Amino acid sequence: MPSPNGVVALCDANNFYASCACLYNPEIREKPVVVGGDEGARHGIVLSKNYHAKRFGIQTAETLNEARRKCRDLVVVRADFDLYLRFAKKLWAIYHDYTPLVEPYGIDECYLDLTGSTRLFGGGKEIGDDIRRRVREELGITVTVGVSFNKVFAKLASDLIKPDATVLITKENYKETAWPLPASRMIFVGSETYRKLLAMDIYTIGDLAKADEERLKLRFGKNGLLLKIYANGYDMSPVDPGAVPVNGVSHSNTLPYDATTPEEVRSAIYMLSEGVAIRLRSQGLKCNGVQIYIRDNEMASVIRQGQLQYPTYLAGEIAAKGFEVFTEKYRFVKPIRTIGVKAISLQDQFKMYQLDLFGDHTHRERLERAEQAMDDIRARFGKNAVMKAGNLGSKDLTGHLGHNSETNPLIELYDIHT
Amino acid sequence: MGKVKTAVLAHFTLDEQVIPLRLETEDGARLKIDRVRDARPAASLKAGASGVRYICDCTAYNDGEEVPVDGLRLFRDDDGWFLE
Repeated sequence: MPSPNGVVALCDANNFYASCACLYNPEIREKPVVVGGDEGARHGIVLSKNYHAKRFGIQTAETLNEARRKCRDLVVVRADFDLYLRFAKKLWAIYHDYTPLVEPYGIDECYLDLTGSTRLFGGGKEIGDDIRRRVREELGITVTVGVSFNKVFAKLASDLIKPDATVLITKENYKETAWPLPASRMIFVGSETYRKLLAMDIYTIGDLAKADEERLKLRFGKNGLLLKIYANGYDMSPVDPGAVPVNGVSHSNTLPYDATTPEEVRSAIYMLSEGVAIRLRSQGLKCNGVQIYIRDNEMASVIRQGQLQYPTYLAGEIAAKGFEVFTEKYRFVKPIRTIGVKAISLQDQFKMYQLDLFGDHTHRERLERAEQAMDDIRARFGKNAVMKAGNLGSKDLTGHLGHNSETNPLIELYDIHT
Repeated sequence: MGKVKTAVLAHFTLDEQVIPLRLETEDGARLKIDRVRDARPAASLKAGASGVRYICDCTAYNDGEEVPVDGLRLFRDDDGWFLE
């Protein structure tokens, strides 16, 4: 547990992908640059942009075509995830020179518990400044370091000033610095939550801190109380170096062509579920629920989910639940561009669960052994060495088996999609 | 573009340090490294790389003539050795 007088930092690499790309290509450094996905495979979105591109109003996640419309001279660099991983590891090595308590939060962000380091290296501000100097000199990129007494405010601080700054939110100043900010700036307050907060006349983090508990609880359940706790600076969650930042394991893919029939969607869900199941097994996890993500050709997206009867890491069960959720909870009118399958409510694979009298658990165990055998074959002979006959046609829809979402190279590190 | 690839003869020490001894550039220039003044992780903004930077005092061999070259910036990164 963090001590009440803890020092927590959140180090956030500024425009990480674009910064790496610009470092290795000095000739484009002073031009507007974005790092984009593969346009040929319809992954043509902006993954990262430099500050020159930002001046043109280019946004992360918009299509490259939209970005080019905003800036004719835009330089588009193809993503190089091996490079980003190498750089992430170099960043982590620097952070570990200050504390062993480093918790990666995405590829370009890390929480550092500096509570025990201050006697060696000075206060949070000094350590933050030193980390920034070293990253700038040794890696040629910049980081913003948010320093505070808990993770929520450290994250908030790191978002306040960019690039290359150390920002402090202390117990003495949080009411002046954090509370006047819009509630949407606080982690865990997404656009939907913010919309609901606004409807309750809660505009700022300070409003949230002072909000009536019962009203929050009524509107958001226990999460509403958590938001109030965070806004008051009472977050006590530890920086966990062993934590895998996982609330789910997911695969998603923009299809090479829009899916117009349930059968096409079914194929994609089955193929994606296969990848999800492989990763669950490799992590020793089972899921209790399945969430699907659908984005249509007008870029409207929805998320729907359902609970499983038993915890599972079987691709067939995940896919069947995913398709059931799709057919029962989604109104399929427009062609579908992107489909994602996420295993949620995860648990250890060996955790006990209640069987029922009539289920065929021997059959399930056999299926588990069969899928584990497939994993062994893939480990020895490659990802595509074996696949289910039903998935053969799906290959065209979703790319190769075990295809990782290209927006999250953390998968390579953790084999987990957060 | 500010990056001259070099071949390097180096001493790999038991404590896993790498100390360059001689180098030869792509255009055939040959230098003997007399002293490594400084070695540290560094980025090269000019050449576009990030690795270990060695600042070396060297002797260049030019048509049999020995020419001292001080403060040469030699880099080693994932792609190999180069001069800035």
